[in-house]
Amino acid sequence: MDRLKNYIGGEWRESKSQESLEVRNPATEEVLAQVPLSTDEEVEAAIRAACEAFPEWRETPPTTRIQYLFRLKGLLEDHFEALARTISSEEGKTLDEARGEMRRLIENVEVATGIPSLMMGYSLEDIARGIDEEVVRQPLGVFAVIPPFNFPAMVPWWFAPYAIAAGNTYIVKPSEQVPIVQNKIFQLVDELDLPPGVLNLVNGAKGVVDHLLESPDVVGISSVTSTPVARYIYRKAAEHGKRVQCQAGAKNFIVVMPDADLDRTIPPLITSFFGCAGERCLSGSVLLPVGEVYEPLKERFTAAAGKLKVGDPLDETVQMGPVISKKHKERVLGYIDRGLQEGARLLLDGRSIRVAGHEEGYFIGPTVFDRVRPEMAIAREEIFGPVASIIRVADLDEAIEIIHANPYGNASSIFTTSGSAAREFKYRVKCGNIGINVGIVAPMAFFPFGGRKDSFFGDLHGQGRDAIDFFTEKKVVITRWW
Amino acid sequence: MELTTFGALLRFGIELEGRAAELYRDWARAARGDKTKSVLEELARAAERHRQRLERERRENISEMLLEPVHEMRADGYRLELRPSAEGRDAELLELAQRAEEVLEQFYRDAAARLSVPEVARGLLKLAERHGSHRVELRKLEPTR
Repeated sequence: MDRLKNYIGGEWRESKSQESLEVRNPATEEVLAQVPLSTDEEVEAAIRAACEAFPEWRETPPTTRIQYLFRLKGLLEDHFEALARTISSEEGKTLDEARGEMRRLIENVEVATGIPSLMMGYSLEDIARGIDEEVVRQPLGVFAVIPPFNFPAMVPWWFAPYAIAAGNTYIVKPSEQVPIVQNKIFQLVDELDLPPGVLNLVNGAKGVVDHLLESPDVVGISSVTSTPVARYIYRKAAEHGKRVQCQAGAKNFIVVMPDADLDRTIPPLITSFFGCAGERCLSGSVLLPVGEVYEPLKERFTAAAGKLKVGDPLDETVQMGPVISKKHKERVLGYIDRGLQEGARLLLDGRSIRVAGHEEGYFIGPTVFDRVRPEMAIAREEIFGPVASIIRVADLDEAIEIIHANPYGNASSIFTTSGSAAREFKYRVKCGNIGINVGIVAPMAFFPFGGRKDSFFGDLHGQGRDAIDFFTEKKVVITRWW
Repeated sequence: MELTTFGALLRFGIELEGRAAELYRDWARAARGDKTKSVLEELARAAERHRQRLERERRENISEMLLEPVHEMRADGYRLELRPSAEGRDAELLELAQRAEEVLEQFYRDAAARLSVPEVARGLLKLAERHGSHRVELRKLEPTR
């Protein structure tokens, strides 16, 4: 059984920690690896390595820095399938979903190669007679990322490429539930011959996070977690004077108007609610049919959900894999029980699903609740599983009222053929990511990944121009020569 | 087997091209005339190129936002179970090659109609066209006896 190593200062190091956790394949419960909970000394060693690498790295011309990213892209393409299979094995998403994740990872590396243009400053001559003013962008130092389990390959690379391209150094602490793929990506990083300490990986859990948050040498933190953890990280990072951006939980509502083209609406709805077994912060969770579309939508949506093939994500024909862990499965099943207790009607029950040959896997079938009321737990709280709740609404105003009453504000979509309804939805809804006839509103690497209310803490988002602002400091220089 | 996902469709295409390449190579070895041999060898090389192209499509053109279940597409209708008779004359080999190209062409047309990623659907239609033109070229050939 492999015990994963840390990558510190350009070399692989065994952790001296006595504590470790098992990493399990959620489709089979097989133990895939042991992940050490690294010691304070090991986290400190990573911070030291990153600090020591920083001065030399920031002086390295951006055009040279991006050559490493070009090489990394090539290596990621070469190992694409193997990495996708690793994601499926340890996280449980289907191979197609894992390939989608890999693609988005690579896209971020590609976008960051534009850093020589992206991090340019600006200037104006003669702000007063004979005096010029300019703004330059400079890197800040050591940054770190605390990613979630659901996109184990991609999320660290929403941030890392921009951070290092801009001249910072970086520490990745992979999710302790799914650390294997990041470990494999760092084997490719090792082939880049980056200066030691520019990119580091430290395995662990809360102890590592706390050390990173408290260290005066870490200047900034990016995280993607549940809302309670995001609040903790945000508060603690701010207390220690860091830059911080925390993407958090979600409860995403999808409105279907009476004029929606149901033939085109059902497939993206199914992908939105049940893709990645609902373990996506952009997953649809509550379906809001407006008026008379309720009956046909309910029937067709439930029928399509019932046809999904659930099973081993490494089987290419499988459309939905397991959830991440036994504990998480119990949590999701607990929500289904609560839905029933609170009076919702179960149209499709995924609780008793059995996958032949995978009896130990953490599978839950697609589940659909009808007659849900906004105050019910299944309509308010983040379930992070393949559970859809239907709330019939009279009109778009009522739908928006329900969306706004929820504390989260990550994503929301509308399906309609009316430009006017779409425009109103886009204009009024207080969410960071809005979909018009799109069920998964996943911003591309060159756009920021939004999120509002309890779905995001901070001001600068991940990806896009926000990433450049987050990983650089603007400096104003005013010059007069005699 | 039902082809229920983007990946299942492309993987089946990759396997189909691999199988075609294998058949063409076998038949090229069995062919008596130089022209038949070289035509079959070229078809084998084309199948290898198509296989690589499909792998690239699968890697580069996957989009989370457009990953939707695929319906009513089964692998059974597109099997390349073609065997020449013991005699295995060149004319027969070329005839079998035409049938293989027909299966491939049909597979790509049907698959393209079921995919929600336009770039990939367009790529599959291109492959269908290539197999169609191979079929036409094969029909025109006068086998070397």
